[in-house]
Amino acid sequence: MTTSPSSTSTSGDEPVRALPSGATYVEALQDTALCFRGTDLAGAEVRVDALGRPRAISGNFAGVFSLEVGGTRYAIKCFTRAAPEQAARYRAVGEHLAGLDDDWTVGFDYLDRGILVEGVWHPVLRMEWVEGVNLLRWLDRHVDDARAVRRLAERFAHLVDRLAAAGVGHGDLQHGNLLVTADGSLKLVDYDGMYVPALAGLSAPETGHRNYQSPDRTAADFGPSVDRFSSWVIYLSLVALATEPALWRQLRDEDAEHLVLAESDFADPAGSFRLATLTGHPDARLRGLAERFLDVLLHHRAAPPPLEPLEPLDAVEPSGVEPFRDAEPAPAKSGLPSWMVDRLEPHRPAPPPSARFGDRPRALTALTWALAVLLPFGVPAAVLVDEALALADASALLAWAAATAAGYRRRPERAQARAARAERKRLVAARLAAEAEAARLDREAERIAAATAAVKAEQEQRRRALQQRHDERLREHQRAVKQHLDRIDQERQSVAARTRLEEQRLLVRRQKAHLREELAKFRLALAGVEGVGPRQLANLQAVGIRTAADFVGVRYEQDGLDRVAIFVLADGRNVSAAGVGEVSAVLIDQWRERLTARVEAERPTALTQVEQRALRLRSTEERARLDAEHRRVLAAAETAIRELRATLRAEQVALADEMKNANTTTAHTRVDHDRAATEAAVRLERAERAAAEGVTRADAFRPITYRRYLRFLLTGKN
Amino acid sequence: MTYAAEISRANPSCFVFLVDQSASMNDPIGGGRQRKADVVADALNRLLAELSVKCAKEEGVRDYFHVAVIGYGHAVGSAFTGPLAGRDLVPLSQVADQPARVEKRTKKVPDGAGGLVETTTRFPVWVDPVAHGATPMCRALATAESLVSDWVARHPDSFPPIVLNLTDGESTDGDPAGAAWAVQTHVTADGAALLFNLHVSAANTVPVTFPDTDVALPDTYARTLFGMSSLLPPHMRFYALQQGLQVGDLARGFCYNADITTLVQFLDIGTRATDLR
Ligand SMILES: Nc1ncnc2c1ncn2[C@@H]1O[C@H](COP(=O)(O)OP(=O)(O)OP(=O)(O)O)[C@@H](O)[C@H]1O
Repeated sequence: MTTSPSSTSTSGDEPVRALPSGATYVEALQDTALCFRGTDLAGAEVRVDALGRPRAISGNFAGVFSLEVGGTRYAIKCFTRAAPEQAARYRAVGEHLAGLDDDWTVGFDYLDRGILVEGVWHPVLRMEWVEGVNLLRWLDRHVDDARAVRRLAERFAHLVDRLAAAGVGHGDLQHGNLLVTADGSLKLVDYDGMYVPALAGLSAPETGHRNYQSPDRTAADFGPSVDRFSSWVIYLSLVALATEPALWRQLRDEDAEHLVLAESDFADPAGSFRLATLTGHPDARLRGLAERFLDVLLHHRAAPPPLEPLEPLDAVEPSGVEPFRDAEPAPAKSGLPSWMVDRLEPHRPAPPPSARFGDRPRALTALTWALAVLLPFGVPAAVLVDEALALADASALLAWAAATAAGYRRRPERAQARAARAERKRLVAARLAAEAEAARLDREAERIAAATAAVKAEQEQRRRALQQRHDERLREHQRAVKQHLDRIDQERQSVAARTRLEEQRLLVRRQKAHLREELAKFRLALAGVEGVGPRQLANLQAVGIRTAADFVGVRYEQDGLDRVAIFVLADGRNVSAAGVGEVSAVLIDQWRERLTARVEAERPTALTQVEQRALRLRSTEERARLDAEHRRVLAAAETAIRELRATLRAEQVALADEMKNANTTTAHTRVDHDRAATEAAVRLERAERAAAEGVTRADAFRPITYRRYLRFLLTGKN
Repeated sequence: MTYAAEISRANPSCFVFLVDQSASMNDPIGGGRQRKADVVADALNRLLAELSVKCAKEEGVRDYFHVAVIGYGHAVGSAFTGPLAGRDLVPLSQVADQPARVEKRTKKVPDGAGGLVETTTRFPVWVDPVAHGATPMCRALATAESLVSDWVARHPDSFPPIVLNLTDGESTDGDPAGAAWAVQTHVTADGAALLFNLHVSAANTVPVTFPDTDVALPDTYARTLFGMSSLLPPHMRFYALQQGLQVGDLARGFCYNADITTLVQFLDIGTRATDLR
């Protein structure tokens, strides 16, 4: 395979086009005869997953598939996100790499008509398949092999060197793009963002993995020095792990997608526990490298200097867990080599041999001996012989004590012992402080949990209260609406009743009129009522009674002995007619009643059409008015409910916002706390180990005491 | 800055899919012959397949997400069929490995030379179409809320959970807006939980993708769902633009009778494109 591009086209700015998704490529690749129709790859065998579907290795911009055709295995990169001038960039990269003789390169062809997906050809990048694992997985397997990690660090430094020599910037140096092959060599993949001299003046299409880039990295950073920051990050991480493999588990979560350092460390170096751990590391070389990186981070973040690798790392004897040897041991911390052991396999070195006093100062030894021999005589002398002699004896004793004490103080063993004891004190104090801090954070965790629960309960309560208030308002509203509608219903009913009554009334009136009209046709004069002659007729006529319609009844009044007939006229007046006695009156009234019965039998039973229409019209109008009101009430109710709901929604949104803010605060508190707790746990773990080491070291100096020194002077034995 | 947290195995995020399984899902989708239930089940299976591919690395699918699929219809609960039946949040690697079955689907596709050819693909199925019962959307959202609330309590630093509701919109247990906003009150240090909605409708109107206003929406259901949907975070909007979609500054995670599987392509895992920073 060549690294020369076989692509033909590309004119600067391509239009934005939707590229297929990862799963769409997976679908297309199930039929390689079709999707690679007419190309060398037609019919290729694609590596599949457990479901028998093409197995993708996905990045943020592409999916990579492994396939074999004609006995050769290729990596096929299918792009899922459009990149500007991609073809031209790959052509330039290919041409440049073709001129190199470096083993990190992976040959590729950029194929414009690469893969047919749903009827459309899309480009692919066909690469040599690299049989290897990415840096993270490699470290997961090999981190405890300090020598292998050290070798990789060196290889990496060499790779950085080669890139610089070739004027190439990869653009996205990170664990996923660094593949380690079986023989331990490093291969670089993913040339999407690669800089080669021919691309000078363009900008970077991507800004790299967040856990490897300077916070200042922008698209404008595109040149041969683009990888400097990430080189520092990777190299420092590898050196740190080679020095102390335990850092792999202490400074990163399992499965975290970064090496020893990550984005947050670059953004806030001062607050970075990981950086502090490295710059405060007991190993001087690591410490020095970390301090240099910190300096880069603080002062040269935007334009980091080239990587400054350590002197050959394998100037160290291959003793497994042994770290790099300190070039110039730092006085206080140099003596802690057994630190660097993996905490999962606590490899406690044998305690250092007990310290001993070296050579014996001859003068002091002689003096001591002399005193030891003479002193027993001194005391009896003081009692028996002479006070002066005793005094001299005592002075000699004092002088001797001063001399030996000074001698002891001058001993190098004593200085070492004191240093070791001071260190032990410091480390034990540090451990206690770490314990106290961890305990404090534990208590704080409980406090935070309680506060969080309280906030949650309060929010729950407020939400319920909001809903209840809304339900209450809704119910009240619905009650009011119902009352209104009930009233309208009542009115409807009363309209109907009123109409019926009116109808009745009109009918009665009509019947009465009919009766009067008909009765008026019967004249009394022609009725031939017995005993009613012309005189009576004239008298009756004189009081207004001429027809059967003119009166409605007769009543009788006692007038002395006689009963007088009194006619009730249609208009209600009471009259009596001269000469019309009770008997005649009864007959006249019977005549009228007979006629009335006859007429009533034929009276009208319904209203006239005109009357009916008028009546109907009136009631329809009233009903319409009520119907309109009914509709109005319903519409108003609907609006009101909508408004209520809008109010509820507005209140809910406001409450949601408030809750969101409160929860955000809680989340930040918890994140800060969790981080502090994790760091405290690691700090405690490291402090415990350091304190244990300090104790062991100090214990080695147990023999170094003044008393033992005296014995040593006397006997020469330690 | 929000919606910028790294999604990694050490700091995973979660996806809660809500799928409407009510009787009304038996109706055909606007302008088509497919039942809404089939469209939604298909979309869901595609989403799960897409998510699995997106998170596949050298050694297999990584647990960048934990995924729940909650159905709501005659009941509210896990909609997984097959080995995952009854489970709520499942690590993505297990989802990827355990579909109910892998169907062989035959379809005609363009052969690139103007013709059509038949080709067979393997299509993993996790969720079957169901259409039965009412539409208790409020309860479904409440279930999502409890999953989300639990998640942010356990992962306060993660990329915020994403809830994606696939429905024909006609909630039968009340106004879903309140329940929807409640979901979005749960936050991580990186932002509030996101609620997106796919509205499948029998109405035959123009599909709408990530609109920034509801004026073009045909009915109150669509408008309610629009109003319930979160704004698309900036990086998602950026990728949508890159895919040639017209999305405004106030675009919401709402689609009407349109394809929502593209959403998975908006997720950022790993190296970032330049225009994002
Ligand atoms: N030639 C190759 N041989 C073997 N594996 C490869 C090859 N090229 C790429 N890969 C694998 O595929 C993965 C994704 O490829 P690549 O990094 O090119 O995609 P990307 O979308 O640009 O990813 P990123 O998000 O990391 O930028 C790599 O991490 C690597 O593991």
